[in-house]
Amino acid sequence: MLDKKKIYFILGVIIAVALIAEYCFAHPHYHMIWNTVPGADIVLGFAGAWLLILLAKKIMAGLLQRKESYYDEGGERHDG
Amino acid sequence: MMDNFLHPGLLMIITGLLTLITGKEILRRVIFIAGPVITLCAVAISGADKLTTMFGIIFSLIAVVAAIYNINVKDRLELAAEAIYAGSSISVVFATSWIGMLVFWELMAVSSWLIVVSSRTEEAGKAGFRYLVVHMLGGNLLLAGIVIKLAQGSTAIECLTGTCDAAYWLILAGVAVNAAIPPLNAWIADAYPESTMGGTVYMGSFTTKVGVFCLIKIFAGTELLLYFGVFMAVWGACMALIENDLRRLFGYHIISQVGYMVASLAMGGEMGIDGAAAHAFNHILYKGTLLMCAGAVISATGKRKISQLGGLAKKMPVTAGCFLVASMAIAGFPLLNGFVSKSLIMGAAASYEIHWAELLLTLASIGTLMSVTLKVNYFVFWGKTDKDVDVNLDAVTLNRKIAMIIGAGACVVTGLFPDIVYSLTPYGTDGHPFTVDHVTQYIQLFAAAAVVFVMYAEHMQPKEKITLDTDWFYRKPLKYAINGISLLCDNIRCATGNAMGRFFANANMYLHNPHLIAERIFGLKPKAPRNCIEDDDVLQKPAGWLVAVNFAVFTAVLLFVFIYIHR
Repeated sequence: MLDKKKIYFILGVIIAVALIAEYCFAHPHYHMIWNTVPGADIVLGFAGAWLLILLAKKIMAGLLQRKESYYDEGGERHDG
Repeated sequence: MMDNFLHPGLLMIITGLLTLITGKEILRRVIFIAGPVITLCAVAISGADKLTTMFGIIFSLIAVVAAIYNINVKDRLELAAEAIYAGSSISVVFATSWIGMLVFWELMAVSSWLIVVSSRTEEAGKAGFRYLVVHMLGGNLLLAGIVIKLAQGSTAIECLTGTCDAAYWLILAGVAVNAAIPPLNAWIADAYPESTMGGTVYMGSFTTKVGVFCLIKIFAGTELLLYFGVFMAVWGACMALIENDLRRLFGYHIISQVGYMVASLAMGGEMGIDGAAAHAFNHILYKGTLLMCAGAVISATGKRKISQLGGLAKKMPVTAGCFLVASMAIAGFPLLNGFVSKSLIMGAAASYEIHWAELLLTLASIGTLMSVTLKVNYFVFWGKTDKDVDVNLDAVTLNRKIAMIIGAGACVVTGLFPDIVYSLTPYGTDGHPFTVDHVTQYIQLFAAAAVVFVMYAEHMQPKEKITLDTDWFYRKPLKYAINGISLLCDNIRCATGNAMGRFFANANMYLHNPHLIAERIFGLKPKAPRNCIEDDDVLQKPAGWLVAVNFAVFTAVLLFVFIYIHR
């Protein structure tokens, strides 16, 4: 498996190529800021991913996750 | 119903019944495969409207693939339930009257319950019971709504958008149960993981998509559903991010993807309706493949939790490859089918200028990418791991591999040639998926989100915990409420019984020994023991002067009455 630096490099190249392609060739059909500004989707993807991690891992997990025997009244939950 | 043609759904139901009664295994296999193939042909030439034909085609197609996946199953009841379930789903789609829809709706609920309990575990029995209760509730709500429609003189299924009467809300609630619209969604994550491996492939394909079909047909353009749909899309992806059970995770992804469809049909218009229908079509293909791969992993390893799995790509390359393709399709990678239908849905949101929905659905795509494409692929198949999971490769038989490859291949073909799906949609809207701005948009989104995943990868491993859902309300508080009510009833019953017992015992005592009445009234000391019931001799004892007085009074009264009458 690749180490993190190589993965960052590969993803960086992909993002750069996509950004250049968008800047040179794209003709947006719609007119909101995330449709028209090249690279807006990079910000959206990055911020969105952190937002979801924060929401799911920090808030929802704390509120909603329980031990596996929660519904079993003492017994172990069925474990395939 | 269709008047002039053999009903395609009935063909599948007949297939199910034949599967049940056929003892010879080879013949049963032939019937089980041939049934959906003939049904597919019958749908193709049925001449029904485009929406019906589209859902009929994809339902029959996935029934063929799932039949190949399931062909080795020995349990005849399970196979019959699966075929009847597919048949009843197709029949709901082909139904034109409210009554026809209702009958097959209930048959769907019962046959799918049979699939859940087919794994014959204690957990499956309990989850199946909860599943059946929820779906019977949905069926009854639908029945109530349909009864009102019939009373109004409407027998044919019609679009109810904008009517807002009692029938509208009841039918909407009934259909919402099947479409897993929160808070009526918990049955998916509760029941699907307990079903058999092949059974889950059927269940993941039919119930919710029949719900979506009915929403398109009856409630297209309902603004309220837009909020629910967008919420489902984001919330399902978040739940999948923290879920540990492989098939529960896909359950949440069904909710998330159905959220896209519900949002799309709620936007209405040609593009919205086509987006919902196309996404349902594509979703059945990639979700079927994902569930087949998950079934293969669970069968081969005997483990269902992501935290117990790892490094399976080398041991199960075909499963890993098919999973990778389908997981990229569900996120919406360009050149795969999820991208094709998401382009329509996002296009509808953008062109109708519902910008908040466009942004939140984009967020849900990022969530899908992280929770399936990255999380499951990394922790189950491709990532570095110290775990050495035992794999029984015999569990992934050739037919299962063929079914998975067909599923993954269908995701690629419909992704590369989007016109296949677009031409089947009701209005034939072209989503123009392969424009530079579309493709670069998704590449940028996914690459940026992947950077975040890699940064946070160590913490993305799910914990060995369960996640509470709305089923908590009927598994905990409702359980306590019912226990409390039955305890109260039991206490009332016992208290009433004791009081009645005491009353009859006392009455019995006074009836056996009339002395006690005089004793109580006149305060006379007893000559007999007080507790006459326990003393058998009390009646034999001399009555004494008390009886003499009683007799004298009685005689005096009689004499007085006699004299009074004859004066």
